Amino acid sequence: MARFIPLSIFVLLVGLLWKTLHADPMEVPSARIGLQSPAFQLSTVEDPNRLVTESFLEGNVTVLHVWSSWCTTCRETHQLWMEFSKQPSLRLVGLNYFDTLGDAQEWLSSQGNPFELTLFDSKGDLGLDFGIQGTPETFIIDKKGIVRYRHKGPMDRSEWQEQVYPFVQHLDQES
Amino acid sequence: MARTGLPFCATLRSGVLSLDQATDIYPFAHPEQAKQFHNIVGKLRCTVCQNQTLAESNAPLAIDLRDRLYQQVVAGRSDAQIIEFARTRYGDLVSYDPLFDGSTLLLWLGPLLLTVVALMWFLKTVRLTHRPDR
Repeated sequence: MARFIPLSIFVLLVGLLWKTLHADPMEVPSARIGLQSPAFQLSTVEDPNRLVTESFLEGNVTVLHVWSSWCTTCRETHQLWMEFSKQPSLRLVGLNYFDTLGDAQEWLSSQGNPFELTLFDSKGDLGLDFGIQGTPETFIIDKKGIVRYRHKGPMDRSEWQEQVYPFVQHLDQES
Repeated sequence: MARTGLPFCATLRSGVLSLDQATDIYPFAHPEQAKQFHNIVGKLRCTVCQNQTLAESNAPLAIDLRDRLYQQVVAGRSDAQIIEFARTRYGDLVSYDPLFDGSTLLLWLGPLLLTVVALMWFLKTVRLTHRPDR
């Protein structure tokens, strides 16, 4: 029996290394999951005189989409967000990251605005507090303001329909 | 090709930030603060260019994070506070020193465990094959 111990350790090690070999190192788990969304006080792209704080994110399940006008991937997927925004009982909020007000406004007026409002984070403070690594990124925040999900990179239709939107609906059921 | 915002890693010009250079870009009133800053950015990872520290990486995210850490050093915060700041935002991966907790138990104790098992197995084999009465 004892002679199988080295073999089983070897097999275990090979299995472990094989698994990590195929893991995506860029798949960094978000440190925010399960935590309250960070505090902020930002104006919006739509109305520079309006100040919004973190309490705005509470009460409803919110899909927070991080984008920038200089991000070409965001441009390519913008029409998908226009489409997603038509889904019932969905609260879609934008987070405009490291951008200028003019560019951001131009973007929304020329391509359409799928967002209830867009937080204007020109210095990237809120983006940093969310631990974002680049645009686009998408967060789901529950009714209590707790970050429940993070999606890095562009969202495609099947991911949205099969995973993300069902999760939003699931969170809607929570009290 | 579609360019995703921010995470590109500068591979052509990725010089290591020397202490002299760092002092040029980041002026410090006290040399201890310069030392503290250099120490911290040298042991935190850029989560976009994962084989580079924050000191080495020129990815926009690393530059941004470096600036924030600089502000904190100047504000007089401690090493532990600053590293905690980075960890709450970018997770355990941000530290080149893995934490010692439940999820890293195998990482820390695995080599020791393997050594013990190998040693036990070795001694047992030796004892079996070198009996004096054989």
